[in-house]
Amino acid sequence: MTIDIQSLNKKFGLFPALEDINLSIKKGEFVALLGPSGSGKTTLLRTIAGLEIPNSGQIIFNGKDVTHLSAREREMGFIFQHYALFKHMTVFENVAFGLRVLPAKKRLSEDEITKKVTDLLTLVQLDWLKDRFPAQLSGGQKQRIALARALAVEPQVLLLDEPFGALDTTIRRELRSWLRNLHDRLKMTSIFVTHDVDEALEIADKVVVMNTGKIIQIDTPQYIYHHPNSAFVYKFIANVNLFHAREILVRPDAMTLSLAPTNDPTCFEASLESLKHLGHSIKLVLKSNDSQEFELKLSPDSTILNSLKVGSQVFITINQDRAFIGDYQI
Amino acid sequence: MPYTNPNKSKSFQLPGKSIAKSITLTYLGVILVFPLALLLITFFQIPMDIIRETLNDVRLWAALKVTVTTAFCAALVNLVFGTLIAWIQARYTYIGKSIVTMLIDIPFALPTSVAGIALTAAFSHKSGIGKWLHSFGIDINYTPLGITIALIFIGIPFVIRQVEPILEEIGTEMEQAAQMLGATPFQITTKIILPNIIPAAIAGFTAAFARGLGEYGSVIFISGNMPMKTEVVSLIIVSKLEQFNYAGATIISVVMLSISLVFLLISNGIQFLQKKKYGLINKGTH
Amino acid sequence: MAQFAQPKSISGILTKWALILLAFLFLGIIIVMPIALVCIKAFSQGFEPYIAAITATETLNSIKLTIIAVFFAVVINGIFGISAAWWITKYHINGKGIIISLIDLPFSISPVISGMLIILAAGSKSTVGIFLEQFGIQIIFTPISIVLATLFITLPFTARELITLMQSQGQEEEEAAYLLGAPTWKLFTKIVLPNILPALLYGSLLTAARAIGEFGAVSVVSGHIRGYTATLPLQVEILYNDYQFIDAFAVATLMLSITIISIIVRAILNKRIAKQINVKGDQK
Repeated sequence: MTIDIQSLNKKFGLFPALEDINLSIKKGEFVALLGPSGSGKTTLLRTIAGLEIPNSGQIIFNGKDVTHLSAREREMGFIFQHYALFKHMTVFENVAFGLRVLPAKKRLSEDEITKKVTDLLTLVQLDWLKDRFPAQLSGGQKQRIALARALAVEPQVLLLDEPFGALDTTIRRELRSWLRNLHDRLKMTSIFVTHDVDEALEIADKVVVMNTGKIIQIDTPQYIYHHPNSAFVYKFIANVNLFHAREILVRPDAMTLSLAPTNDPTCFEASLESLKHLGHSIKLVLKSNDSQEFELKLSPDSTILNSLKVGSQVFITINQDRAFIGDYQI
Repeated sequence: MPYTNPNKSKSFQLPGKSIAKSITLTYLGVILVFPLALLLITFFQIPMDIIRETLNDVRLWAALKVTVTTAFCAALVNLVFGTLIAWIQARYTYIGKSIVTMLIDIPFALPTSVAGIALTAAFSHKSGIGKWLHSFGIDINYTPLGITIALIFIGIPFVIRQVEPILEEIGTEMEQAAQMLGATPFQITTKIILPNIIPAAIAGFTAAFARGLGEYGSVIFISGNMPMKTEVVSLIIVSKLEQFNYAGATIISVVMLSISLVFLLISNGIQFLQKKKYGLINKGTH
Repeated sequence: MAQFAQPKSISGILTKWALILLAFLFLGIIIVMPIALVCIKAFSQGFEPYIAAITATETLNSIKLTIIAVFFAVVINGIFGISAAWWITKYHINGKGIIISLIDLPFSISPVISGMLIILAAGSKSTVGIFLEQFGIQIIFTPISIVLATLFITLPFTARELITLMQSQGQEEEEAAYLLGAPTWKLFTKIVLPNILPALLYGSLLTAARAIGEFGAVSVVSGHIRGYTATLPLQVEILYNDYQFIDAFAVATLMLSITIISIIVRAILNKRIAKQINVKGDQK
């Protein structure tokens, strides 16, 4: 199912939640809407779902204009951050709900429903929980049930609103890859909202970076990481240093450290303040001659480490391809 | 983390325990336990034949019938309208909403005698709505219907206070999820919303009913207090007291208290069972 | 967390306004109309009879008695409330549930029965009553019984408000102060009291409102002695039963004003307490 969003605008009172949104999503794509709080990503998702009505613009599914279609009629699955499971129904009844509210003509027989629900619960590996109530489940289990419930009615698109936002880090990482695997198996068009950069970059086919109601950049995770199109995206995507004196934004991995000066015009001198082993990398804190502190990362295998100790004087060259030099001068 | 005093095996305790404990227990004992115990002792000291004589009173049974039926009907009306009002307060914004919030509190705070004369004035066949209804041959004052209306008035807050917080707590996400799954508004109301507010609604109903059983001030003006017709049990208790028939008053009070207790236990029991069923007991909410 | 559904569909909007209309109709007939009628009737013969009724000696005496009852109820049940809440929330007690159920008891007892309990306990035929008669002290049919009845009826209010608040606050602040060496009195005045103040005020307001408005229990113990054992709500009944209707409605409007003012003040205080609970919650 392809989705075309054209010139979408949404205001809450006077507050512009979405401004001139244009977006195309191809069939089977796994798209992340990424941005800080208030960026409009959840509003966009809910507008696609039909839970919000835009002020202007169009939403087109497979060539059909659905902008004014109610949420019920859009045949999309929606996953909420806080699960929204029906707490007065068992897991089984939750998953069966969408099948049971179908009009009599379309409704399957009870046996068919039972089979379908069981298959789905097996798919999410939680069939042993079918008679429990939501209050008895963990967060990760709840979200998987929510997914099974949404999939039961065979939606054409899956919409997920910060699906792992309420979960612990470990569970979040597990479910993240689990979700990606599920998507690869089912090949369903999916859009998910997150403010977690790692999450978006790790599992999405395409990332839509948003801020203050507008789309800032749409690209693959790789491309966005290496070619951010603005200071905002650059800052948002990675943990960066800001050189006040020189006003360059440089990531820890965009600098080269050497024991002797290089011919590069960006080369400057600094002293090593501290060294920390982070496991997969070594973090160095350095101080430039104008007392500017900054961080740099090295791989644990770097041979230069042998020559370094706290207090050493070193030289830093900035890798201009990987630094963002936007509105600022060197 | 409780600070453990190596001198004792108990965990850390803030000062003031003995003062607080003694004040609490003494006060409760004198004001609450003592009179209640006295009631029970008095009751058990009454000879069986006097109990039988008091309870065999036709007038008492008529009053019981009037009291129970009016309280039940009033609680039922408040169940329906209370849920309605709880819904519009929890879900909608509209002009005058805060006024409604304050209106709902009035029956709770207003002295029952003031409520009594207000309702009598409003529904008498000489003025207000009473006049209009009288033209249809419907009389409110001096009938059980009047008693029911008075009990509706004082029972308004009970269901609302129970149901509204639940509606706010469950929020709208379950409803939105049901929407996305294709449920019609009717299906959402019957399958999602109603099942979730039933325990609260029952609690509210029982509270309103129990309140109605014991109500006095708001009823005695509008009812006319006609024995066998519009007399309520609380009035009979008062008349017995005025005649210094303490035994009779005690017997009837014990009966009324027992009825209230039974309903309280039923209500708590239903709520407990519901919560247990959904697994909300013995597990923290996620 | 309240979420407001602004219905988007036509049927949704129609439903919304139909429901609101229905609610308005119900409340209008049952609450607004009777109250409006009280005001209308109170002034139906003009301003002067109204003022006369309000300022009659009996009325003023009933106001005095009401104030006395309220004062004792607020102070004594306030002290009780603080003690009970402190004991219940700060310590582990076996049978905590029983104590709380006991405190809640006056809520479930009919006011008439409450009054009767006072008569049984301290009336002229009771042990206590007979004992006190030797000293010439009588309890029922005097203001003392009215105070007692009021104490009984308003027992739970402050205690419950404080229990709710203190349970949600935990006791980390008190423990910190204690470990820093604060003496008990300072602990109480500088740490505990400021934290519970809104709930204490709110509970006291509830107590006062209930004390002012209590009718059934007070009616039973008072003996309806005009000018002596009549509180404001009783005065309304006395005047009405004596066919002094204008006066009855006039005094009723007094009660109405007090009720409405107390509702408004409580609404304001409510917001303050909610903020307090939220602040403490965030700090955890």
